[in-house]
Order: sequence, then structure tokens, then C-alpha cells
Amino acid sequence: MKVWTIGMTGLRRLFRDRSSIFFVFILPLAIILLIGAQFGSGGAPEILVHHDGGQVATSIVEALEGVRAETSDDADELVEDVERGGASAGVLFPDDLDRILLEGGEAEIGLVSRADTPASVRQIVSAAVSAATADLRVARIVADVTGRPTSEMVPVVAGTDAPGIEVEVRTVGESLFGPNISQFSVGAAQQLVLFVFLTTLSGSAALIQSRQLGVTTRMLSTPTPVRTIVMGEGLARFLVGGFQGFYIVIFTLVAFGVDWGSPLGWIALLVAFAATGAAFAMLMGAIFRNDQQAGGLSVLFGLGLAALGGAMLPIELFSSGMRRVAHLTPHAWAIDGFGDLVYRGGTLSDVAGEVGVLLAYATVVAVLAAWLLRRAILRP
Amino acid sequence: MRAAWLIALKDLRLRLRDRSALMIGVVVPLALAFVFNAVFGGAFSGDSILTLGWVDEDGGQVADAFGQIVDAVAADGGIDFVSAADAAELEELIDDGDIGAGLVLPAGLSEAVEAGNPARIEVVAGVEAPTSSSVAESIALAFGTGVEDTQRAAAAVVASGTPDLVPAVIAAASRARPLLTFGTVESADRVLAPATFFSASMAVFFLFFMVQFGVTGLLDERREGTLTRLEAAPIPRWSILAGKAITSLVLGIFSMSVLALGTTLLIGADWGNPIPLFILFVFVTLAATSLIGVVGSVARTPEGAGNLTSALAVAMGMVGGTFFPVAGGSEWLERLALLTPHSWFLRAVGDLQAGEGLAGITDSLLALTAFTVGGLALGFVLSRVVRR
Repeated sequence: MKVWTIGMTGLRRLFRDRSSIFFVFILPLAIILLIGAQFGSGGAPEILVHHDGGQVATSIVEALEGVRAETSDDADELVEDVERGGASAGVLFPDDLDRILLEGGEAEIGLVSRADTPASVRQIVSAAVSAATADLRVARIVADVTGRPTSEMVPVVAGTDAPGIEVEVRTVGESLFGPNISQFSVGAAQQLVLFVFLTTLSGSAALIQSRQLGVTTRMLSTPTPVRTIVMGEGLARFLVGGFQGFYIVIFTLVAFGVDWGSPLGWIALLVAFAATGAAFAMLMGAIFRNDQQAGGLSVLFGLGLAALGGAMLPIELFSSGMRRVAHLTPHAWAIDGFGDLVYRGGTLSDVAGEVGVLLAYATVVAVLAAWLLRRAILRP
Repeated sequence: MRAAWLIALKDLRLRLRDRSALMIGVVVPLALAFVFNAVFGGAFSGDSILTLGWVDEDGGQVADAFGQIVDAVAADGGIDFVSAADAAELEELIDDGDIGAGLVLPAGLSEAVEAGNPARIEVVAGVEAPTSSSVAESIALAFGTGVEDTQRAAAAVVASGTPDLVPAVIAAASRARPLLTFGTVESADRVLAPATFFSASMAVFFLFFMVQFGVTGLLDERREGTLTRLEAAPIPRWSILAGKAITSLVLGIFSMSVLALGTTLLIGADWGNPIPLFILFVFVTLAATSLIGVVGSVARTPEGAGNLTSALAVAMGMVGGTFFPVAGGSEWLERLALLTPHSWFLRAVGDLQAGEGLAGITDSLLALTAFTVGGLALGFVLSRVVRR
């Protein structure tokens, strides 16, 4: 009973503090929204084009596939926009292109690119050029042999047809994120893991403050065993993280339509992960005596482990060595579990392995932390 | 002024002793920049070289011509090719993630093309590699177009009643030069390389927590009653504020300089020319101090100020592109980012990376000055209102 009282006091402290409202309830959703907005833009590279409105250039731009093309009115502006990352690449068409080509001349298209411009952009533009200028190109070959003007050959060529080589695309492999996930799903699962751990870990500062302010000593002066205090403080951290996770799940389910899959599955994962976070928070709270240092390190470990564990960039995009390192963090296991539920519609039995690993983590760290915390409380 | 220096010196000594400034200003950002660069650095730049597979099951003339195209594309750089024995091996390579996509020239391709029958090339697209897949497809399409050109040119001379010109037209098609070639437009790279991006973004993100020490220092003095004593001392009131501002400036500029040096040595960040960079540090620290000072003018307790400034710093850091780049995202987000000093700072570092000097970052310095002046004005007005 006393354990419960100490735990609930921790949760009440969270609501009392107005800034934590921002960090616990507003910030994660804002980030999920932002990531969803980026995700929603489709991922196709954006390229800027500049031309004088001539027929050839217009039809080339229309033939572009697999990129989002936007027209820019000013060539200098286009170059600067690409330089600053506003678009992946830029294409500058020479003026008077139609006339040059009809008169048998050759022309150069200017490509504006950066070190991180995808190699595909050049291929895509080149494919569009070859598709849009086919008639003209063939007409010039014929004109070259027959000795008649190109413009005269264009209509003749336009009437011809040839089998050519058909390109057939066959897609193989299994999609990483399944076919029907909401644009917010990826961000929601990642941010849940990041924030639940970060929030519980930041709770280590509250643990130290309790000791600094003498609250812990006063509790000891009452007929309360150390065991109860340690368990109560652990419960407080667990409740704070669990509550935030629960809130993120419900809010994204209702507002953003994220399908979290089997409720039993995500509840088990959330409980196991919040318990792991609480265990780590107790460990930090036991090791440090200065709440500001613990606060700084909470941010470091909270964000650093999240990055390593795939809560910022999907683990599937890591190199294989990095993937192994990732699974040293509890985050990676939690994200694997949420991935099974959210992307692949798994159930409780599919995430049993991940839940087991997290609980093992929580137990080992909690035992160590409880021992250290007991020492810290008894010998302040 | 001497009083201001003394106050600043006392605060700095305090911060040095409890090590919190060292933690937030140097250790945490440096470690995070290191981790982020290790985890994301590869993924950020990984797309620039693609590897595609191809299988020649045909073995005829057309496949030979395709092989020449493959060599030419590979020589252009940016795309590597590996050849596989058959389609099954190709799919295995895709499954293992060795290649993103591949091309299969099926048996009988040359025969079909030479007979003028419909022919096809197969693109095997890995579902996780849309970029590789679209590149493979465009290479196949471009090759197919070349074949189609020749066939159509031949059909055209037949249609105009000169079928005896067909051999000449086929020869002409094989030496036809492309109508349009690609040239490179001279441009500078102002988008930060991963190592520099993570270093600069962590530095400016934590700067806002660092300069907070000056502001909360003032509130600490108020709570402990030492502020009243300072006000009673024979020193001008502004020197107290100046002392706190100096604390923030010294801490901010110091942490940024250490981070610039540390990330250059540790992860190879490229901060550009050090002299304009240092001036940039001064300007951005002034802007941060001034904006955080606004919070100080309305907050009552050090805890309240700390919480409010943290929320402000995180919100501005997020919108300003310190967590992920905002350029190239949605347009309203790009505009919103301009309302944060963070985005102007990162923009200036991008200019410095591109080799610009002081003149090249004037726009960012002016914008940062606007934040400084705006923050001072707002803080002044608010503190009047609050005092009443």
C-alpha cells in the first residue's frame, strides 16, 4: 500500500510541473506529426527545372517519372535553392532549344547537383530526354541518310511504329512496412519508445531531489522499510513512463489512425519497456548525487540509446554490424516488437520473445539498482 | 563594468565547480554528435553510389550492345554493376541487400530484335530499393529506345518509298550522336555533410541550455536574497544584468568553440574558416542569450525559468532543423524555420563549409542581430509589465 502511495506521488509530481506537460504530452505528438508530414511527401526526390517554355523542354519535363518536378523562373535562384538543399537537383535547359535541335544542332542541358544528390536523378532525366525527343532523333537519322530537312521528316517518322524492347518490371521481396500503414505509424512507434525511455530516465533527477530535500530520510524515520521506499520510487518511474506510453498509443490511435494491433500485445510490450526504463532510472538515481548532472546524462542516454536502438532511423537501414550493436539497447527490442504489431499485424504470441528480453533486462538492472539505491539511502 | 566582470567571474566559478555547464555545454552535445554521426552518417550519404545486378541469358549481339551500355554507365560513376549467372542468383543478391535491383536479358532477345518481333528486358526490382529500381528501369528503357529508334528509322525510309536505304539508315543510327548531352553547372555545396550537420546542430541546440545559466543565476540570487544585497551595493543596476549576460556569453562561446574543435578532431566535421566562424559564434550566442533573457524577465523562480527555457529551446530546435533538416521538406515548415536562430546559424555554417568568408554569411549575421535586438526589446517591455 505504501509502495502505491509513493508511486502515485511520483505521478502527481509529473502533472504538477507545467513544463513536463509540454515534454510528456505535446512534444512527442508534435514530432510524430512532423515526421508524418515528411513521410507523406512521398520520398520521391524533388528537382527544379528552368526553361523558356519551348516545346521540347516542356515535353521532357512532362516525361519525368519518379521525381517531383517543379518549374523555377530564375536560373540563379534555382542554383541557390539546390545549393541550400531546397531540392535534390536542378535542370537548366538552354534557351531556344527547339530551334537549335530542328536546325540540326546539339545542345547541352545543365545539371545542378550536390554530393548527396541521388545517382538516380541523372538517369531519370536522361530517360525523359530520350522518351520525349524520340521523333526528332529518328527524324534526324533519316534526314541524314535521305538528305532532306529534319522538319520534313518529323511527320513521316511520327507515323511509324516499331516493337522495340518492352521493359517489364517485377517487384520482389517483402515490404518493410507492410502495405496499409498510416503515414504516422513509423514515427509513432519510434517516438513512443524514445519518449517513454527518456521520460522515465529523466525521473532519476526526481529521485535525487527526494534524497537532497530529505524526503527520503523522513520516510525512513517512519515505520517504512527501505525495501518499500525503493519499490515505491521504482513504481513512480514506471507509472510515469507507462502513462505517457499509454497516452501516445491512445492519442495516435484516435487522432492519427495508427493501428497498434493487438491490445494485449502492445500493453505487454509497453509494460515491459516502461519497467526497463524505470530500472535504468533507478540505477542513475542511485549512482548520481547531483540532479543537474543526472538530468544532463538522462538527455544523453535517452537520445543516444534511442538513436542506436533505431528509434530515430529504422534499424533496417543500418549496416549489419550496427544492427547487432543496436540490439544491445532495450529500444531495439521494443521497436522490433512494435514493428511486429504495427507493420505486420502480429499478436501477443509474436512479441513474446521481445517482451521476455525486455523483462530480463528490467530484472537484472532493477536488482542492481535496488541494491545501490538501498546503499545510497542508508548512507546518505 | 568592473562590478559586472566580478559578478560574471563568480558565476563562472560556480558553474565550473558543479560541472553542470561542462556536462550540458560540452560532454552531452559532443557525445550525441558522435553517436548520431556513427548511426546516421552512413544512411545519409549511402544513396550516392548504387549497385545494380545484371544477367545475360541471351548471349547474342543485342546483349553485347547492352554490355557496352553497362560499361559506359559504370564509367560515368555513381552506379556499379555486378553480373549474376541467372535470375535466381540475382534475386538472392537482392534479398541479401547486396544490390537494390537488377536487369535480366532473357534468352532469345537478340533473335527477337533482329527478326523485328516484340522483345522484352526484365527489371527485377527490390521492394525496399525504389531508387535502384527506377534507375535499372531507366537504363533498360534507354537501351530499348535505341533499338526502337533504329527500327523506326528503317520503317520511315520504307514508308517514304526508299527501302534500299535501310542498310544505310541502320548504319547511321548506330553512329547517331545524342541530341542533348549533360553538362555540370558550377555550384557550391551548402548542404551540411552529415558529420558537420550533427556537430553544428547539437552545438546550437545545447547553446540554448548553456546560456540559461546566466539567466537562472539572476533568479538564484533573487531567491537566496543576494540580489537585494547586490542592489544595495554602490554599483549601477545595469552592471548586475551585464554580469549575468557576460556569464551566458562566455559559457556559450566557450562551449561552441570547444565543440567545433572537438568535432573537427573526433568525427571530421568541416566548420570552414575559423575567423568568421568565431564571429558567428558570438552573434548566435548573443541572440540566444537575448531570447532566453526574455524568459528570465517573466519567470519568478529558477525552476520555472529552467522549464520554460527548455521547452522554448526544444521547440525552436525542432522547428529550426536541428533534429532533422527542414530544407526540402514542406514549404510552410521551411518558412517557419526562418523564425528560429537555429536555422540561420546552420545556414551560415553551410555557407562557411562552401568556403565563404565573412561577407558570405552577412545575411545570417543580420538575422541573428535582429533576434538579439528583438529579444532585448521584448524583455525590456515585459519586465516593465511584470514589475507593475
